[in-house]
This record gives sequence, structure tokens and C-alpha cells, in this order.
Amino acid sequence: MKIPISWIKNYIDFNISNEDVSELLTMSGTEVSDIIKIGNDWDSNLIVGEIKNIKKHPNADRLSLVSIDTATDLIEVVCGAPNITSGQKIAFARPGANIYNPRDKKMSILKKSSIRGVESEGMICSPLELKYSEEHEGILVLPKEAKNGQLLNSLLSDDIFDLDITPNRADCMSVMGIVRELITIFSAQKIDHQILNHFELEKEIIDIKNQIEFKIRINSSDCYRYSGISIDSIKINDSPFWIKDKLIKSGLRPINNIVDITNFVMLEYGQPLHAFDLSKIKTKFIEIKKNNLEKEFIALDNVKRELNEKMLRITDGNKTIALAGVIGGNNSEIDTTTSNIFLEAACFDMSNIRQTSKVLNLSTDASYRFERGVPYDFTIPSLLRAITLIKETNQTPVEITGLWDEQSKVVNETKKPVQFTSERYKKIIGENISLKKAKNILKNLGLKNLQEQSIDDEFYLKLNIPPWRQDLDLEDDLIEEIARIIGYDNLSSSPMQYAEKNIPVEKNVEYRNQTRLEMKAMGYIEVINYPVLNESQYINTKITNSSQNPIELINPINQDNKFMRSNLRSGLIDNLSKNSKKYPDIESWKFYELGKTYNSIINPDFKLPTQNYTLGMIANGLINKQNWAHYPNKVNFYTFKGEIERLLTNLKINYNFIKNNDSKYYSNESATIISNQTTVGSFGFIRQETLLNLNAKIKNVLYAEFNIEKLFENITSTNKFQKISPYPQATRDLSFVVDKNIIADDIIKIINENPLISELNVIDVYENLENDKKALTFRLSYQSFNKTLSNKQIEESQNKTLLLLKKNLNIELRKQI
Amino acid sequence: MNTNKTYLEKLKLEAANTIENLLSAEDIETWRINYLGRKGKISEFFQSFKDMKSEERNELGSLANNVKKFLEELYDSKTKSLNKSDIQESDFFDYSLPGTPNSAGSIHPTNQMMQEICIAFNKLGFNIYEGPEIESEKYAFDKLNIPTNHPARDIWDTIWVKDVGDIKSLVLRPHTSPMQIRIMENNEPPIRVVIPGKCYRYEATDNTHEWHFHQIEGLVIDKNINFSNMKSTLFEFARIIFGEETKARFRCDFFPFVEPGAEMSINFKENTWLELMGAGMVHPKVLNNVGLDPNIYSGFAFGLGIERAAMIKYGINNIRDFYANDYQFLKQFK
Repeated sequence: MKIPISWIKNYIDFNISNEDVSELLTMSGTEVSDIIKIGNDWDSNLIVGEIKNIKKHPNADRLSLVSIDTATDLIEVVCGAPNITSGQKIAFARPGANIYNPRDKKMSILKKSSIRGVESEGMICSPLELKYSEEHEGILVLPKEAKNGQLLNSLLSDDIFDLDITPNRADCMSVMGIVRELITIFSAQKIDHQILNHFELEKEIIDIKNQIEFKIRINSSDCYRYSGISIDSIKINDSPFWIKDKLIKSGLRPINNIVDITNFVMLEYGQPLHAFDLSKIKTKFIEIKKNNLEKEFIALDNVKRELNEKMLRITDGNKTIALAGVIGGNNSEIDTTTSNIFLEAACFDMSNIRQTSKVLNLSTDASYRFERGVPYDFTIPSLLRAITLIKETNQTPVEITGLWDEQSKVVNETKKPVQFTSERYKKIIGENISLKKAKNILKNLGLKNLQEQSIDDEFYLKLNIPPWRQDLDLEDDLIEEIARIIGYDNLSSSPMQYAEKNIPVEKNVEYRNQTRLEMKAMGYIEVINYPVLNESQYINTKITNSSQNPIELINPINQDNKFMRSNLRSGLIDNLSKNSKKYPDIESWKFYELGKTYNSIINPDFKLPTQNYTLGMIANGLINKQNWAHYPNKVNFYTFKGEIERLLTNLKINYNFIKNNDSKYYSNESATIISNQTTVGSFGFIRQETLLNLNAKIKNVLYAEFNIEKLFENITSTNKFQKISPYPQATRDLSFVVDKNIIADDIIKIINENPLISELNVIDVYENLENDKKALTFRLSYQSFNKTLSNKQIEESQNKTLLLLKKNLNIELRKQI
Repeated sequence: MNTNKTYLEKLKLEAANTIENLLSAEDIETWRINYLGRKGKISEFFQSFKDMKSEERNELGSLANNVKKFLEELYDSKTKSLNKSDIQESDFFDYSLPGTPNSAGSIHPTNQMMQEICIAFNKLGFNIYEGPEIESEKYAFDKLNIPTNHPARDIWDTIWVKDVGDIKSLVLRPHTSPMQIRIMENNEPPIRVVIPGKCYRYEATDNTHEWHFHQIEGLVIDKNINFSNMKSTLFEFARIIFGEETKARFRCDFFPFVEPGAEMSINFKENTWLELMGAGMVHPKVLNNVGLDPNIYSGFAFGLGIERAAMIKYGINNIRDFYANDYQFLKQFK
């Protein structure tokens, strides 16, 4: 919302800079996001001129030669604007003036120039050229009272506050509200100021001589109050300059004297008004209701909209003439011939107006205020303010022909008083407040003291809340009022007393950080992907044997990406594919993501869909970067498995591997990881077909994904010391001939049954033996806790193992060649 | 026989151990003479069994020959390596060639910043929790004193989730604040906790806005917590993250779940104030909603955007870089 300082200064004067005022407002909660300066860079080359004479340009039909009186000179300029007439006061720029050029959107210095063969010694400015408004259709016409030769900035310059009003402060969406805030702040912070004018909020008596016949009926509880005045003998015209000036500076476009006054009062008092052409309400009746009405409506903007039965409407009993609190209808609109008007000032239910505005996707100055809450008590004072302005500006005397004030319920008058105690203030803020200070602030904000008690420094107040402060409900609301007016920065700051207890630590946070460090140490780069997938990504990465439905978004950012991911696959594949395309020189790729995946199984603790952390890792190309000293191998199943083993070991998780059975996604070179008898993930080469389905033009991609939260459950947090033997290890290499389809794990299990084995390693695999056999060479370390083992003891123990291997797996020692 | 064998083994070990530590050509030559010379220990050994029976002599001879061969090899390789190191010490050596690559990975800047902030609060006595991203409307709004159809809801443009079975009114949480409620419902005060996590808003993306972003929520609840404690704690936090010289200030702001509500800005370089976080005293209605008596308990809550903090701290000027996952962007964050 924009408010020119000049408007505020009609009511209150002060000596501090506008920047200081803006700072004070911002700190107190009314954020001034910008100060727009009009005329601060205008120099003596921009002055008021008067058009004395207009001639046709000799060489151009659309241009005129205009002579301008600047009090000291009579200057001839070329002008192409359509709205020039003799006797107008205009904004004149002499050569040398710094003005805005709408064509190249930059400021530039005006030069003497020749336009179509005629010298032009200056320019008549449009509002846009002065950066006064966006208007560039014609020239800016100044008020008649402006003096020829007067500096333009003495007439127009202003600072405009652009305010961000928080949704709770409907009362600040008006000049009146901002003035009230300033008076309160100035007075609390002892800043000199002078109140020049008061806002009239009391009911005046209006003398009505010829009351017309007209009825108003409220037929919905969403309309709290409906007040109106009928006025006759109106002349529709342009508004006087001072009204237009304030509207333009507040960001509104002037329309005509009546509409402008309704807007002027709205900006000043915060109460939206609407003017109907009374002669167009043929039924002489206004009914505010929702039901049994037409489904379509053409508003003032000539757009046809579809309405529903929840929307509150202003009707003539049969048809809609305005959408309550949002926009008027074109069937009752003021036009140039209007002379009889009905001015509406009403109070509607906040959420009804908000819904109408949301459903129609139409936010107006009126709806914006109504949905934040317009006080119940401002209808009559606002109408009176409008009448004063109409009387002041209409060219002929007007006549008031009726005043109505219908109320459906008395809401705000029964608002409960709120208490304020020094004790609670101390508890919440942490310092004391004096009775005098508290009372002064609350009084300036419009609260009325009903009851007061005080003993020493402790006090109790009971206060009535003013109708414009719907947001003040509780004692803590009043505490905020006092604290913000004093200024949060002026309040004390002191360390809190730490309680001994705290809620329990969530271990997984630490485990996740540890996982990240492990992944980083192994050369993996962390990515964070958006957790949404399109349909094809969802289908192509779905876990094979899952019958779950996807979690779907109602209003996704991108219509295609409406599924919440159930795994991390497509994101990481996409990261790899895009980066390897962008950086073709890089031969080693390792990415991981530690993020949530979602499924439709309901988590009983939260009563929400399951959303667990998952770890995904992807690798492709060389194990490491290559250089002059080093040509690393390509990543393969076993290098990848080694990294997984390292990660799990360092996280202190027990695990083992079994054959993988997800053949839709993984190739044969893959495995499944088991921890504590549960499947926690799988890894291996992704099938080429899957990559193609995901449009990834990459090959030989290794991928792993774990249910990391399940893994964390199996962390053995206590590291138990294992006794070490004082006796040396003895090492033996054994080479076995085994059937091709026997896996190493089966052999290892049998070997490990031997209690003397302290370490075991597979040091060679030779696949190509005859008769579908292969050779596996193990390096075994023997060690005893009781003695140094002799050759004989080792041999005896080893023979037992060999017997077992022969018996169970038909394994023989390989003969030396 | 056995003593001879043992002697030979000892001789071999002794010789091998001695040569290991020799550095000069001179010493190595002495070693050679001592063991392999004409009157050296190996020759001596050959002499010692020349009168034995041929069977034994042959066996010992072949053993001794092996040892001799082994020591000769040791000598050769030692002389070679000595010569080589002589050359290197005196000649050109390019220390500047890159080492064998062993490239470390990286941690995403969002997670690094998140971690840094968590550690700061951890130092200040806060525990760290996380919570669900798919949240119910009740926790995301209602229990936080943000009623339906109130313009305050416009602060959070929300992405809604289709019903999952019987579970209705689900949202992608637009802020981490629902976890305030969950923490308070499930724990007795005193509470000091920070809750990092992902949030989502239905809004257009530009240089400073992402629909998918991260926040850290903070919550302190106890019997004697006040606004002045909040100022002190958050000042301290800002100094830990942005440096000792950092200045911070508070102004009034509005969030329906706190009263009084505040916003903290910091000033740590170029003398400009940058908005960092929203904060405030936990609203008495929120305390009531979780069954805590506002006459006994009070506390403060705060929330800040992690990307925003990272942008301020690292000087990143386009938030969209965070989730484009470009190698050159990510690898900077070691």
C-alpha cells in the first residue's frame, strides 16, 4: 500500500526526516519497503507554465506549436499531446532539465531540438516523463492556482511510503491508521510532533429535507451492517487536482469526481465505499443476499464472471448489482450522465469476501481490506467524510435525500475488555513497565481504560478495545503493542537460565551427518533433488513388487511432476546423465543423495504417509580421476561393493549380502543387502533398458539404494573390546578347486567354523578350469589364545576344515602345477 | 647338521638386517667384504663343512648357495637404489607434478549450512530433531493458530496432497513450524530444540524464491523464558555463524503462532541490514492447543531459511543454483 507523506502531514507534523519516520514505522511492525521520491531530482528547469496559444505545426498534422508563458518568457514549443487547451497550467521542462524518456526507459537531459523543421525550446511533460505516474497518453494538467514560473517541485514533490502491511493489521491500511501509529510512536519515544487535524469518527446529524422512497434489507448473516446515503444533483466531472494528486501518488487511477471520492475516503479511513447510479436501481430496493440469483455477472471491468451461492451479493431484490465487498456491477455503474447516486458503506464477513475473491481470482482494493477486517463502526463516519468532500468539490449544491443504516448483528460493541498487568508483561518481556508509559501507549492506540488498580510498581488495567483493532484479543496482544511501540531494540537482552533437562537426543541426525562424511571421504558428491516425479519416471523406477499407490499432489508446481518419489533412482540417474553430458572430459562420476522417499503406508506414530530417509549412490566411469602417475580401473560391481562395505562397517552396522531378485531394474551383477534379517537395500549395475526408459544416455551405471533408517536401527553403538592374543599369527595360502556355481560365501562359512581362523581373505579367483570348475585361493591366518601354534597343530586343524569342505561342497585342494 | 642350518639362518637374517640401515657406498662395500668377500662369512661357512659326508655336504651346500644368492641380490638392489638416490639428490626433481588423484566428494551447501547452524544451536544447548514433510493441515495450520479462510494463510502458499487412504487434508509442509506442535505434544518441558528440514511453497521460482527449500525451526519452552532471553540467544547464534562483529536487531513482525512476533536482521558486512529470521514468544493459544498452561509455561520460537543463510554467508546470488545439481556448483562445497 502506498501513502504519500503529504497526506500524512495533513494530520500530523514532525521535524525528523522521512527516512527516520520510515525506520520507526518499520521497527514497530509496519514495514516501509520503499520510499518513492517524486521531484527530489527536479531542478529549476522544471517549472509551471501556462498555455497561451496553440497553432498547427506547419509540417505535421498531429503536432501543434504551443506558446507557453513562464512568467518571465513566452516560449514556443512543439507538442503532440491530444489533451492541450489554451489556459491550461502545465509542467514545463526547459532545455537542461533531467527527465525520463519512456522510449529508452532512462533519465536524460533535455536538449533544444528541431522537430519537423520547427525549433522547440523545451517540452510540456506527461506524468510519466516526470515519473509522477505511469500515464503517458497526454500531458499533466496542473491546478489553476499554480503560478507561472513556479518551481514544479514546490507543487508536486513528495515522498511516498510503500508499506507492507501484515495481515493482522487491517487498521494500518489507511492514512488514519498510519497517523495513529505515528502519534503513538512519537509520543512514546519522545519525538516532537504536532497534531494538525483529527479524524471525525462521531455521528453527525444530517438534515434531510426531501426523503426519497427507498428500502434496504439485509438477508444474510454475512452482512453485518449496511449504511448508505442518497445524494441528488451530482455533476459527474473530473476531480480537482488535489484529490487526483493524492490518488495518483497512492497508486490509484483517477476516474471521475464521485468514484475518486469513494477511493479517497477508502484510503483515508480504510472503509471501502461504493457509488451506485440510483436511477439504475429501478426497484428502489437493495437487498443483501446469496440465494436464488443469476449465475453470471458482469462487473465494472466488463468481465463476465460465474458466481456461486456462497458469494454475498448486493441486489435490487431480483438481480445482482454488486458483488459484496469485491466489485460493483456495470448495470448500476456511475456514468457521465449520472446525477442521482447511492453511496454504500458496509461491513461484511471477512471470510466470505475472501472466498469470493479467491474463487474469482479477483483481488480489489475493497476486497483486500474487507478480507482483513473493516471495522463495524466506520460506515457512517466514512459516508459523512464523503459528503463533506462532495459538497466541497461539486460545482453546484447537492442535496441529501436519504440516510440508511441497517445492522444484522451488533458484533464489535460487545467485544470483551482485555486486561493488562505489569506482572504478565514482566514474565513475557523480561523487564518492567511503568503504569504511565503503558497507559499512554494504549490510550494513543485507541484503547479505553475501564478499570485501574496499582500497588507500588505493580498494576492492573482493564481496557476496551477500539473497533479497528480486531486483532487485539488477549493480554499478550497488548504486551506486543507496548513492546513494539517502545521498540524491540530498546528492550533488554539477557541469557536464559539453562534447565538441566532437555528432551531426548535424536540419534539419526548424527548418523546422517556421519554418513555424509563417509560418502564425502569416498569421493561422492552430494546432490539434493526435487522429490517429485512425472508419470514415466514413477513407473520406470517403481519397486517391482510394490503394490502401493503413489502419493499424488493436487496442485504441483509443474503439472507433469505430480508424484512424490518412492525412491531416489530417477533423480540420481538424471544428475549423472546431465552432468556427464555437460562435462564430457570428466571420467569419474560419483553422486549420492540422502533424502526422503514417500509411500502410502500409514505411519502409525504420525498418522501420516511413510516418509523415510533413503540413501542412493550412483557411480560410473573410472574409480578415480586419472593423471600422469595413475590410470585407475573402471568402477565395477566389486569396487562398488567395497565402498558399501566400507560405509556400513564405519557406521558399525552388521550386514550380509544375498542374491538380488529385482531383475527389472538391476542386471545380473547385483546383490541385496540384509541387516538383522531384513532387506535394507540392493545395488549393482542398472539394466540398460531402464536407463533408456529414463532417457539417460549413459552406460555401465552402478547404483545402490538403502533404507538408511532401517540400517540405523542396527547400529551397534557400544564398541565392545575384544581380547587380543599374545601369540603370533601363522598364515597359509590354500587354493581350492570348486564347482563354478558355488559362491565364495558358502566356502567362507565353513572355513570360519574353524576356531583357530583369525583372518580370512580371498586373494585369487581363476575362472577357467576344465569341467566347469574354478579355483579360489584363500589366505588364512591361524592364531590361538593359548600358545604359539606349531605346524602340526595348524595342519591338523586345517585338515578338519578340508574334510568339511570336501564333504559339503565337494571341494578339493588344487594340485601344484 | 642342525646347528649348521640354524647358523646359516641366523647369518642370513643378520646380514639382511644390517644392510637395511646402511646409507653410504663405503659401508655397503664393507658389508660385502664382511659377508660375501673371499674371506667373508659365507666363504667361511663353506669352508666349515667341506670335510663332511657328501650327502650332508650337498644339502648344506645348496642351502648356503641359496643364502649367498639371496645376499648378492640384496647387495645389487641396495647399490642400485643407492646410486639412484644419489642422482635424485643432486639433480632436478619436479615436485610440482600433481599427486595421484584421490578426489574427495562434497556435501551439499544446504546441508553444510544446516549442519553449521545445528552445531551452533547445539553449542547453545539445543537438541536436533526432524519431522514429516507430508503434514496434516491440522499441524501445518490449525494448531498453529492459523485459521482457515484467514488472510494470514496467504503467507504460506501451500501445495496440497491427495488423500492417502483415510488420511485427508494433507499438505507438503510450507514451514517447519508444525514440528513445534509435535515436539510439545510428545515431550514435557523444559524443551530446547532445533528442527531442520525441507519445506515447500506453491510459488514461482526466481533468484530468491524456490518452491522447494529448507528451514530450521527453533523452540524453547520452560517456566521462565522471556523475550529478553530470545534476543540474547539469537544474538549469540548470529555471532557464532556470521562472526563476532555481527550486529543484530529485532523489529515487530506478524506470525500467528507467536506473540509478540519479531523479525531479526543482521549486519555483518557493508553496513546493510539483512532479514535473517522470524521469531517470537510462543502464542498462548498455541500453548493451550498442546495442553500447556500459558500462565506457567512460556517460550520462544524462531525459523530461518537455510538457503538464505547460505546465500548470505557464501555470497550465492541465485537460489536456483542450489537444486540444479551442477557438478561445478556442488564440487565447491568441500
